Order: sequence, then C-alpha cells, then structure tokens
Amino acid sequence: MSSPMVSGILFCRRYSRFFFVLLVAALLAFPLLFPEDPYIMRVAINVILYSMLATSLNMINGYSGQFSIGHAAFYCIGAYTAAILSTRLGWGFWQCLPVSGLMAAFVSFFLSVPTARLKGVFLALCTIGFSEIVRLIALNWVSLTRGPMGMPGIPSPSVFGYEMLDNRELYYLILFLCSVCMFTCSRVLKSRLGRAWMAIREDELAARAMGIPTQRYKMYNFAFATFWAGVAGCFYAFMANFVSSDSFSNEESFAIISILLVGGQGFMAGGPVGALILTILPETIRFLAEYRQIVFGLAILFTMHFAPRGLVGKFVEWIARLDREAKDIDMSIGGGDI
Amino acid sequence: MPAETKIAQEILNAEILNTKEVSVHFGGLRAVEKVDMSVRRGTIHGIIGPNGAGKTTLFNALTGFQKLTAGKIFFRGADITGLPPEKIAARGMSRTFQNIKLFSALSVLENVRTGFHSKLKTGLFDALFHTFAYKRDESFATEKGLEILEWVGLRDQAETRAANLAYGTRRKLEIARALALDPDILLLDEPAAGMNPVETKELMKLIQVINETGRTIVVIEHDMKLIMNVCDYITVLNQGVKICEGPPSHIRKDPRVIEAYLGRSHSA
Ligand SMILES: Nc1ncnc2c1ncn2[C@@H]1O[C@H](COP(=O)(O)OP(=O)(O)O)[C@@H](O)[C@H]1O
Ligand SMILES: [Mg+2]
Repeated sequence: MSSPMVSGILFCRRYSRFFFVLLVAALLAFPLLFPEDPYIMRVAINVILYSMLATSLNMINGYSGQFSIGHAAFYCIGAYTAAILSTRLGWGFWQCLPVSGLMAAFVSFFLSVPTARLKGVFLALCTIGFSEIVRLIALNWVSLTRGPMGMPGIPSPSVFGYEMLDNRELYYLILFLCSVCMFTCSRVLKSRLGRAWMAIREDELAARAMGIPTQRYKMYNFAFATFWAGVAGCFYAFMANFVSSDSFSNEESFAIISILLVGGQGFMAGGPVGALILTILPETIRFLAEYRQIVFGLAILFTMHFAPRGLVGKFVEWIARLDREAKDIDMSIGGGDI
Repeated sequence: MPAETKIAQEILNAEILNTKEVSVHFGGLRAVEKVDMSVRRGTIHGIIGPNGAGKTTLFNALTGFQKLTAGKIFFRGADITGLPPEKIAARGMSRTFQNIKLFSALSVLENVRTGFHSKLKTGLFDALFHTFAYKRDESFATEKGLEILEWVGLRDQAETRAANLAYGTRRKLEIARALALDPDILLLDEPAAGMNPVETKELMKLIQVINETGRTIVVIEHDMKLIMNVCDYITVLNQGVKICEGPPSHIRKDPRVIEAYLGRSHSA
C-alpha cells in the first residue's frame, strides 16, 4: 500500500479540527484581502447564499430520500414575506428573519399533506408544479405583492441600529446565517430525527418496522429544510432591497438542484462545494455567463458520469479506497461537521 | 403452592398473539384464507409451508404492512387490526424481512440505533442544544446498541457499513436491529435463507438464546432441521389455508404435511 498517501490521510484526519479552524479563519479574513472590490464580494456572497439554499435542499433530497425540484418556491415565500413585512409594516431584518423561515415551513405543510404518499418522479412533479403556483401567485396578487412591478424599497439589514450597506458587511451576515444553518442541520442529523430521515431514505418499509411514523417525519423534514430556504429568502430581500417574482422561477430551482448534485447530496460539504464551483465557473469564464443554464446542465452531465455521488462523494470514496488502515467510512453524515 | 404454580403456568401459557379468520386476497388470489392461529407467550412458534403458501403475506398482515380482506388480529389481548406498522412495532412486535431490508449506507451500529426510535424522546430543541435528554438518549442508544451487537456477535463490525457485510451477517444484523425495539414478540421471515450450515447452527442457538430472555418468537423457515429442533409448536400453511398445527413430533407424521411437501417437489 502507498504508505506516504495513507500517512498523509491519517495526518489530515488527526488534524481535521485544525483544518476546520483554518477554513473558518480564511472565510473570516477573506473580505480583508479584497477591501476595494465590490464585484468579488458580490460573488462571495452568492456562493454562501447558494451554499445555504443547497444545504437546505440537501436535507430533503440528500438525507430523507424525498425528491424536490421546486425549492425556489420556499426561497420565494421567504423573500416575499420579508418584503411585505418590511415595506408595509416597517419590520426590521431580525424580526422578519424567523417569520420568513416559519412562513416557508408552514406553507410546506400544504405541499406535504397531499404529497406524503408520493415518491420519486411523482413527488418531483408536484414540487415543481407547486413552485410554479407560488410564483404565479406572487406575480398576480397585485394588491399584496404589486405583481409584475415587484417590491422595491426594502431597507438594508441593520444590527443595533447600524445599517449594513457595504458588501463586506453583508458577506459577514450571510456567512453567519449559513453557519447557523449548517450547524443546526448537522446537529439535527446526529439525533433521533436525522436517523429517522436517513432510515426513510434507505428503506421506508424497514423504517416503519422500526416504529418510525414515516409520513409524519417526512413532513417534519420538509418543514425543517424549507425553514432555511425561507431564511435565505429574507436575506436576499434585504440584500437586494427589491424582490420580483421572476427571480424565483424554475430556473432558480434548477440552479439549486444542480449545485447540490454537482457538490454531492447526502454530504454536508456537498452544498458549499457545488455552490463554489457553479457560481465561480460562469463568472471566471466571462462568455459563459450568458449561458448559465447550459453550464449547469453540462456540469450535471459530467458529474453524473464521472462522480455519480457528486464531487464530495468522489472525494470520500477516494479517501476510503486509500485509507484501508482507518475504519470504514460511515457515509451517513459524510463530510462531518463541515 | 400448587395454585400459585398453576397461575404462573397460565400466565406463561397465555396467548400473546391471536388471529381470527384472517384473510388476505389479491384480486381472485386467496393468499391467506381464514387463518386462525394462536401463539403462546414464551414459545418458539414455527410457520412452514411450500413456496407461495402465504406465510410472508400472513407476516405482513400481522405487522400492519398488509391490509386484511377479513378477520381480526389480537396482540396481548388488544385488537390491532388495521393499525399502521409503526404503531404495531412500538407496541412490541418487531420483525425481519425475507428480502433483507437494512439501512445499507449506514453503519452496523447506526442500523441498531435507529431501532431505538420509539424508546427515545429527543425533540428538535434537544437536538439543537444538546440538552440532558439528548445526551441521555444518545448514550442509551449507543450503549444498548453495542450491547445487542456484542450479544449477536457483531460488536467488532460496529463501524462497518451494512452494505459491506456478508450475506449471512446481514440477516444477523436485521435480527439485532429488530431486538433494539425490545420486542415482546419477534417475527423472523426465513432467517436461515442463504446461510451456510455453520451460520445456520449459530442462528439456531441465537433464536434459542433470544427466546430464553423471555421473548416469544415466530419463525418462517424452510430448513426443516432448524424448525423441528427449535420450535415448540408449528403451524402449516398450504395455498393460504392452515392445514394442520401441533408440536413438531405431531407435524412430522401428519399425512397432509407430507402430501403438501411432496406436491411441491412434484411440481418443482
Ligand atoms: N402484493 C401482492 N400482490 C399480489 N399477489 C401477491 C402479493 N404478495 C404476495 N402475493 C401472492 O400471494 C401468494 C403468497 O405469497 P407469499 O405470502 O409471499 O408466500 P410464501 O411467503 O409462503 O412463499 C403468492 O402466490 C404470491 O404470488
Ligand atoms: Mg415468503
């Protein structure tokens, strides 16, 4: 066996905590490296925002084995909730944040009551139809949402009365929200709830034989996951100061699912890795920006062919193959805390 | 004193599981037809019959996976007809599947820990803030899970992915996982299928040891040696109908049983 490789991996494992701290430090220091570049900060904010959205979808598609392809619906609900509450009732960011999340989770119940018995493609079709319905309501309920004119005039987020206008400040805000989201998700996955979801993913009948009320747990799963999409929507509304229904089309759902598939569903690191690659790829290669959808489509084709479990899945398999000395890797949580 | 022994004997003999004219039809096919069966507490009860006799369908009916066409099922005196599988499982009836159903991407230990679901209380809040309840639940599941694995002889494979286990070992893990529910009655659907003679022998011993801890066992099996050696009582099904029942010594000599099995070997 290639011993330098193995000892290298063992080294990485032993010092994984150290690498984690290094990553956190890098993320915190990042804006200081580019103090005068709003463009780079915007891209970085997008990467983190999409990491959060993909992680939220990961809870459904990656960990409970349900299959949603209409995740933009809940992002949309969160954004519009924040827009309406802030412009009509004068609510601030921190008041809107939990309400946006709860609103998305609440609406998810309406979807999961009729769909709790559906699986695979049938569930997927329902979610995409539902997403379209949500967008059309936002587009046509003019008295509430101003319809096609969109909702301008959303204030910027503020902390203790201090308004966050600068991209750098928004970067730290979304970094904070995404960290809370990922931390929460990983904790829930390592409890009885997460075990129930993964049991459903692996074999629904066996899960029922273990005393798990699968219908109910699938609904919890949808509600928990969509809460975070709603929170992300609230951030988006306050960041852009404007929402409009065409930001939440099926194209947006498709972007989120592409990110997750490329990164690797069922791995905590899947969302962030996918978001990093699929956000930066169309940005760096300038002429590709126009063809974002095509880039996403090709990226899915390539990963499905060369790494069916996504890039993180490939990485974990690669380590597992080299790392015979260490224990068999438990794929349940995959990337661990990160 | 004799009165006390008598009462104790009666409790011991009490019927834990009862079916009353249970029928399951698939269209015109009578997979299970008016089966009356009683399983006495603390016994090892065998169900035999040729392929397609309706044994698995009967198990599915008992555990709530299959709707009954007619009939009633009583578990510990209570009517459980029509309850969903998860409720029946939580009441203390657990099972294994003929076509093994493990959580294959999860580790051996995680498979067993999942079985503690209805014994634990952790909610969302507990999971997020690692409350006392969470810590107690998690350490309970780990300790008990390892204990069960030790018991069935899978302790040293606790971290292995279930998908990477050998076939016979998977069946063992399924039994371990079913034991996590701390069941009063354990239903095993062809546990020896695909096992080599050594593994089958170990399995026989395991079934007896589980039974000695006070659990009732119902086992479907084709391995006649296993059935005749470990069962206290046997029910024979053929084409959905119960054709005879009794202790092994009685079953062995019954002409209807011999005929049912001969009939199978003729058609095979
Ligand atoms: N879901 C089903 N739909 C239709 N027919 C079924 C179904 N399940 C079982 N059967 C039929 O019922 C009969 C009994 O099957 P089963 O209970 O699996 O037999 P055994 O376990 O004794 O071999 C078989 O003829 C089988 O084809
Ligand atoms: Mg069968």
